Amino acid sequence: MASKYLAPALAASAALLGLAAASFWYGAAETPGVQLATGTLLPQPRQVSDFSLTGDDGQPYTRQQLAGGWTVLFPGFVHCPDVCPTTLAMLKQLEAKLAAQGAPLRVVFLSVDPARDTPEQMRGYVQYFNPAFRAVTAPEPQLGAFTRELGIAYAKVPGESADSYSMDHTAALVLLNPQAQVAGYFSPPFNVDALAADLAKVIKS
Amino acid sequence: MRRYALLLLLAAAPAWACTGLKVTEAWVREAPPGAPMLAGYAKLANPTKKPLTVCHVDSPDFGEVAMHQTMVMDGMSHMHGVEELEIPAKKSKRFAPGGLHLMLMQPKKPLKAGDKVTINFHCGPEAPVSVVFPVKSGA
Repeated sequence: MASKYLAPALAASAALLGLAAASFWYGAAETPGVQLATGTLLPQPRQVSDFSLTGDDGQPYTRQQLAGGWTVLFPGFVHCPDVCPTTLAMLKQLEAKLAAQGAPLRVVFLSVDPARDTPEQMRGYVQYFNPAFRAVTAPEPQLGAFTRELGIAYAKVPGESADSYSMDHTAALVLLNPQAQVAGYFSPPFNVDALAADLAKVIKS
Repeated sequence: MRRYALLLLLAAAPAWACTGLKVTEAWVREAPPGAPMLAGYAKLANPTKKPLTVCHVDSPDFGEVAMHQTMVMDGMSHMHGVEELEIPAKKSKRFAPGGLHLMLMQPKKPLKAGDKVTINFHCGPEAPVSVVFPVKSGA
């Protein structure tokens, strides 16, 4: 089971590392206006192929829903008691700080565990933090295709029983611009004030 | 001579009880709806002159409790079980968000901020150290 996910996971990790390296070399020169303290902006926002995910309302979630505003996408899963709630609580604070500065940010939780996470469960999970937060997922192979383009990797880690497994997943946040293109990445550990300062610059630029 | 040997043996033996273990700053993160498990956090201090090893954690309020460690490796967020936790003499270990945490599975009843749960730390077959953890909103 693990090997099924490992290859795409490694490929996506390699892609992300490559992107990070590329933006390290070229980023500073090509985005003179915005310097980030906590993340990496891609030299050129990257187009994502058409996709169809499932939203937390059970409805299709496509480019149409994703486009139209700056979005931070966070990969995770509902059976995750520590890092996912910790990050969502941080994103709640971040969204509030940015809203107060007139820099609206949308937050989308991408479940990498479509086998267990139902739209209803995902909705309850993210709306606990902020009713405006959205959650999306997709069955395979759509999820694999979408996440690869975003540079997100994930892998199933078997547990003691068939349904007690855990998911390893990319720890970074993916920043998407209002055209639903990948604009950059933010890596942990997350500092809400530093992130807010960075994102306010990007959103207002 | 025999007596000294016995004393030596006792001195070298592992601690069978968590005697002296001090647990502070304990709290359980209220789970968002839909999440079937919760995480518990605390500071475990060992003020004694001998190391203490927590080898098992359980609770009357949960079907199962485990010690887990979250870590970021090569950009991936990863979680694994911790079988034993040694706290050296005069040192402490911290269970904190995004790191070492207590994984609290199969709650016996729905838990909300303001509730209290009991968690038992075992260092061997003798009586555990029982600690009351308040449930708090982490959002």
